[in-house]
Amino acid sequence: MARRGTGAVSFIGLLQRIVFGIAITFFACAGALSAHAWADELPYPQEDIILTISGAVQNHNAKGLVYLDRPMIEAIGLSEVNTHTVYSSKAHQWHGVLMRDLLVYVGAKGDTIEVHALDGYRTEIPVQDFYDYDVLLATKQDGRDLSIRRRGPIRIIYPIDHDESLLDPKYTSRFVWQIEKMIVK
Amino acid sequence: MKFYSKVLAIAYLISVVGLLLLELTQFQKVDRLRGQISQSYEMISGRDEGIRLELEYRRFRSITGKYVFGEKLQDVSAGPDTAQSVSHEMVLKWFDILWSRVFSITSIGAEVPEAQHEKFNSLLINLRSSLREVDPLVQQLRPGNLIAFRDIEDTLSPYEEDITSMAAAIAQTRVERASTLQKRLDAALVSMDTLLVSSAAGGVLILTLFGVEAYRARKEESRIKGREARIRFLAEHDALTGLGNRSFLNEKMNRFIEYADAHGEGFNLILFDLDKFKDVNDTFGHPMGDRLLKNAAARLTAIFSGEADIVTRLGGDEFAVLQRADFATSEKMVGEVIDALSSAFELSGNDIRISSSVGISRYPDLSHSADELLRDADLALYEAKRQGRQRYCLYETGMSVAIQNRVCLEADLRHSLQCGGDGLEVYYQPQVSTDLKSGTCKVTGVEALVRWFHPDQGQIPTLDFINIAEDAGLIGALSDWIFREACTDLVNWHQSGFKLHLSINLSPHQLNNDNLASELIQLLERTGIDPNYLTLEITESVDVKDTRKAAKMLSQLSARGISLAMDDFGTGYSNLGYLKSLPLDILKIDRSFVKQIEDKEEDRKLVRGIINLARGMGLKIIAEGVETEEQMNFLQEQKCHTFQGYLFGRPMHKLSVLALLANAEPNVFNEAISLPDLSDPSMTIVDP
Repeated sequence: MARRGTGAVSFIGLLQRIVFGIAITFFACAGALSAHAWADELPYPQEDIILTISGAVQNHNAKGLVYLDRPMIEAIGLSEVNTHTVYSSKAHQWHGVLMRDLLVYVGAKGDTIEVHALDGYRTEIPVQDFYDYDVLLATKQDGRDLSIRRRGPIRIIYPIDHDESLLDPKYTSRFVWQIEKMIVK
Repeated sequence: MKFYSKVLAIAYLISVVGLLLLELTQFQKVDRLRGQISQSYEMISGRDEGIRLELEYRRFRSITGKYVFGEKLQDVSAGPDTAQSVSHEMVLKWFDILWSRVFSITSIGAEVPEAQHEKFNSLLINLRSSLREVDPLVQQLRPGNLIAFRDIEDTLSPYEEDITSMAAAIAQTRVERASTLQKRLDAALVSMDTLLVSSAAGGVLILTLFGVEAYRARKEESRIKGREARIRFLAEHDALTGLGNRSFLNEKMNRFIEYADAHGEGFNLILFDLDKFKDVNDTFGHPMGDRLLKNAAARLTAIFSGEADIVTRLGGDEFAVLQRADFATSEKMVGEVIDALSSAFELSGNDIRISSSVGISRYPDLSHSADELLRDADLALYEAKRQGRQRYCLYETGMSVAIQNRVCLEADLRHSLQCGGDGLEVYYQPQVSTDLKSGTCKVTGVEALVRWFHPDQGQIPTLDFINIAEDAGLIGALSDWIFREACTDLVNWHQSGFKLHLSINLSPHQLNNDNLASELIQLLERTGIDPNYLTLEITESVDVKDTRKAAKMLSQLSARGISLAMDDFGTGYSNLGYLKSLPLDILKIDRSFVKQIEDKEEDRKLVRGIINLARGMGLKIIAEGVETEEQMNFLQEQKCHTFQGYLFGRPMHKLSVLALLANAEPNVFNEAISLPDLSDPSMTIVDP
């Protein structure tokens, strides 16, 4: 491109930059202000739904709810941990997603998660736990997918073998298995 | 009070120890409870598998029945109209849930009484094999498949009773534990209450004691402060006059010096000394002396009334004033004070008159420190006194040397007198009488005169050291010494056959001594002197306080045969009444008149008059200071026949007196006057 009248060009260039800058700023502000309106639409599960997350979630795929199947959960990123549970007599190799990754994935905005199990068991877990420890939402035990009979299809595993402070009895009730639903509060 | 505080201290200690023990036990108790509570929490938290097993067991059987018989499922939470038909998935889900429970149950042991463990363990083992048995039937169960359902029911229903009793046992355990926990919590709360109450009591007790102690300490402190202030006032002030004392002066002087150094404004230190104040005390008593001091202090402060003027009493009759002013200002005020103090003090009907002497030093012009100021003012005061009192002197640089010399001499004189007159000598000047018959002169007497040969400074002028002796209060001791020496010598001469007269000067100090007469008479008796050969010479002196008393005393001596001579007649105040009142025998014409009789007609007239006066009063005449034959001739013409002077001999050592007497035989005077080697050693400097 040939340059004509460098002075005028540089002035116009400056003006363009200013306009562009203002636009960027505006969009950034607008994005921040109306995060809800700009929430991500999550894909809809292709297989059996094994977990439903409701409550204060920003990203969803079914009218404010999030339905998740096993591949979707595992796609968030698998981690593993080798530990006992408070109910088991020997250690197992657990695979699953970190709870905090799952909460980020669904855009959870809350301090507490209410967890429901298939058999009607229900407990509340502070979100802080997931940032203090690598708490796993396990989908596999010793490499095999968890079934309901083996307290699946998903269950929460605290790495109690890796942190002595987790031996506190208050964590006992948070080892929820056969999880069906979570409500972000 | 002491007992009370002891009891208080013991009570305090006991209660503190008691509280500590109480708190300790409470803390231990609460600690124990904390352990138990966490244990209890563990007991009731989350371990409800036994109860859940019962629920899930019943749920599965109920759902299975509904599925087989095609009944709807009532969702209680969703309301009666939302009935839902049961699917095979649902049956499988609940079977799996029951399965997972039965196969993984672990915590039954803690939930049921130990006696039933065996029973429940076998129940679980049997239930697991029964579940495996019915598993294929459940997987293939279809609605209406009653045979399969019957088989399932037949296999599972026998467990109902045991599962129910297990759940009941567990529930019972829970209730018991909950009530135990409740009791423990109650006990813990009671403990907490006790702990709080005892802590509060302890806090209140300690705070109260602190408060009481703080209050007491504050009271004590203010009391001590008051006392300290009073002590300091007393330490810095003179109780009699209320003026500051020496330490107060020192402190103020340092302040003045600091101020002068900072602002360049000099100040004067003025020392006042009441002359002869001691005599007031001796005469009128100490209470009167104290009142005089108070009045004197009042007059002083009335004049030095400036805000910055510091008036203090250093003790005795000495006052000191600090004034920030130039010398002229202070000088004017000092003059006023001397005048004010010299006017009579009227005390209890007595008019007491007193004079004062003042020494002034000045900072920084003349003196350069507090010590120097005091010393220099003292020296100036000394000088003022030496100059005759009732005056002031400003310190001059030369003063210290002269006065130090004087102080040295004073010490040496004192030492000498203590050592029996070491360095002191009595010298004798011959008195000569003309024999009217033979026309010859003869030594008839001597006048005793003291001389001092100082080991370092040689001979000290007599007038100087007599002054020193008077100022230092040594004059009495000196006079006594002279008396003893002279009397001893006189006795020796008399024993040698020379019947000489001895004249001795009486000092005013001795005349003021009431015991003089008795002391002298004792001395005469001890030495065995014939009183008729002793003459006492007195002067017309203002220093004789009570002339009547002195006259009476002299009369006693006169009655003993002692002669009395008036010395230096005509130079004093010549009160003829005084002259009359004394039992005089001899009048001595002063040398100042004799000296001029050859040249001045007035002096010749005066001498003539004195001689006539003496003759009229029946007194003998001795002419002093006769140095020439012309003088002697004139005096002889006037019928004065006794002489004293260099013409006949200077004051001489006692051995020289003996030699003179021996050589003068047979009393040819003209030979006697030429004895050069016996002249006064003071004129030729002889080492004693």
